[in-house]
Amino acid sequence: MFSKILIANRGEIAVRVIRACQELGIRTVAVYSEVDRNAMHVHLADEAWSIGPPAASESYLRGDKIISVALDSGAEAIHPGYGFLSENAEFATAVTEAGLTWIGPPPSAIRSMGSKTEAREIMMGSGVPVVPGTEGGIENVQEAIDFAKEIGYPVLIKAAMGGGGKGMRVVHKQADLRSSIEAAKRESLHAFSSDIVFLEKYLERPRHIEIQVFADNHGNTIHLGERECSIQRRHQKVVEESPSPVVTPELRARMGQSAVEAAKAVGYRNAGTVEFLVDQDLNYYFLEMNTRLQVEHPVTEMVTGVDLAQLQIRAAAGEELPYKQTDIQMRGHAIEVRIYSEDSLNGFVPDTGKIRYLRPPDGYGIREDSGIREGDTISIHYDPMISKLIAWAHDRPTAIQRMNRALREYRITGVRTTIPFGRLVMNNEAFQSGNFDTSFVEREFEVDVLKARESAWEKIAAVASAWRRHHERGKGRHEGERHVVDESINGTCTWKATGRRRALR
Amino acid sequence: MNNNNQHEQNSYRVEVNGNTYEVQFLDDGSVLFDGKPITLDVSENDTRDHYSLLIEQESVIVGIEPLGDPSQYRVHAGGYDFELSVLASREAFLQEYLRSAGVGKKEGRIKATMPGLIRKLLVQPGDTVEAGQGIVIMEAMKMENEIKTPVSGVLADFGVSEGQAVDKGAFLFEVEAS
Repeated sequence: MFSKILIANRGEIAVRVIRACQELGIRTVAVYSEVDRNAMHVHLADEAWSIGPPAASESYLRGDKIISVALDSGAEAIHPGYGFLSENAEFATAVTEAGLTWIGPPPSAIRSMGSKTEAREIMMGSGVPVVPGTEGGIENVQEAIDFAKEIGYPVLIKAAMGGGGKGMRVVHKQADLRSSIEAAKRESLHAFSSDIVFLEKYLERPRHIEIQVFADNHGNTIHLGERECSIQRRHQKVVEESPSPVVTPELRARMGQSAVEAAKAVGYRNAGTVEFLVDQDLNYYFLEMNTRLQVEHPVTEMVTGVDLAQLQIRAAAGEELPYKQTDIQMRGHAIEVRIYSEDSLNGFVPDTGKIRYLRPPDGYGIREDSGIREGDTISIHYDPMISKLIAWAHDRPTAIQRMNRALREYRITGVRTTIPFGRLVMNNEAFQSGNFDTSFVEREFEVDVLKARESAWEKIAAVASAWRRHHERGKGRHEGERHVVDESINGTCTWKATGRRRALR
Repeated sequence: MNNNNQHEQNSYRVEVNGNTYEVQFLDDGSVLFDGKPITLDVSENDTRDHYSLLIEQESVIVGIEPLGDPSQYRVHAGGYDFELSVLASREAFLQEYLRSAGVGKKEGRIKATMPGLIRKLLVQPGDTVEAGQGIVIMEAMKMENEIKTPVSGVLADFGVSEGQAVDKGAFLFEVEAS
């Protein structure tokens, strides 16, 4: 086992890995950019090393600096978290060449799965079902137009090197195809330094269901069941759960087997996720493989009892998997709501600012994986996902109500968040019935619907804001004197008493 | 100051999501919500932005954040967020008067709601544009967002050019409503 690990990340995932290390008795080395000196991961780690300016390209993406910190600090292994360098095969190679252990899959597996076109070919070769699409990248627009005609609209344009919904466009008619291809190429070039995009049949109303896989260095590969990730906005997940309301034990076994085969086909090691699109008839198609720990891994941890972050470290240290496939049993139901600093009332635009007040919920069955604390500043430099709230219960309806309760308790000011959105999802009939797909957000959450809240809460908000305005207008105008409180008429009106006490101070 | 005047000063019109509520704080300490008396107990409890409210003994915690304009608030209640405009009745009267006089029509002057990079201008000054039409492509948080015009009319002016980095609140473009 390692005695010291460097975590090449920030935010909640760095915190998650630091905690896993500390529970295993391993010292942790954090790296941080100038703006992150007081970030949570820096405070929790045993050591912290500065790696440069705020821009990720000059800090968290600087593989060379990170490797030299690892060597200088005496770390034996690097955990990349997710995002940043986690799916960068060159970095993984450089880590190994520097004599360090890479906590993740072999670079060759990252490379194969990182290219969506290559991944498709390998999957087709090993009998894993795939969605019909172009063989390679789109060379010219006419070719794309012809192909789209052949497979029929709608079609999906995807960046070959993409991920997380970036560089992705759905096109419903030929007239929009050219501009969409150009936009996707531009976005892909900026985000992934490659303008290769390809085109595939867009499945109408599919579900997004993924399988967690895990492989050790001794030839054992298992799966840990599925995660239902159909609740997405802009092709990015916001609510995930395990198990999926539509997956039967029989379907789980088949999808699990396909996922294990997909992993074996690329010589996979460590934690990975095979994503599938599932159509209305429960046919499933390989979408992509994420060669790292996923954001939504906690829901799998809650239902299987397996600590995936710890298992990653054990497997990288050469330990054999302590579980056989038959040992993996799913117990109860877990739901995760991602908390983004985004304005869910206004098209989910990212919000920045200082967290003025923060009090997350707790209580039975609630877990929070957060990377922020009160007083932290959410900047434009990094991903707007700041925390994840996870609820576990013995069944799905109970887990939904537990999450609902926790979201209601959550107190945060300073930035706008997706908490109200999570609340609406939990109270949504389609979500509660389990009858939904990836079009859920656009179908169920028109802006007007988002704004039409339970009127009881709206009235409370109206009273509260009027009180605050009244209070503020009164300041400096001797509020206490103007309002003579007659306790015999209304003894419960303590806000006025408060006003008087303030005036007396 | 006469009674009538004071009464007006302590009366507020709250607008939220297209609904309007009236809240009055009377001198005898009672509170009227849409003309109906309610009991209200507010305690600040020393937590930033947060207040404990007992409304008709219903216990709720609300977060109240003042937005830029002193009459604008964002309230967090029950896990939901609300954006409210709170006007004293005299301010509300004035606003209505101005509105009926045609002042402050729907705003066609658009500012950046977040910092970002201008990737592309989709129209030319002088072009006729429709409400909902994309005018600027802006990249923020590594995502491309199309900034649309809320009003139909003629694109009068751009405040930015392609490739320019902008701060939150920067003037993007103006549409002269037709």
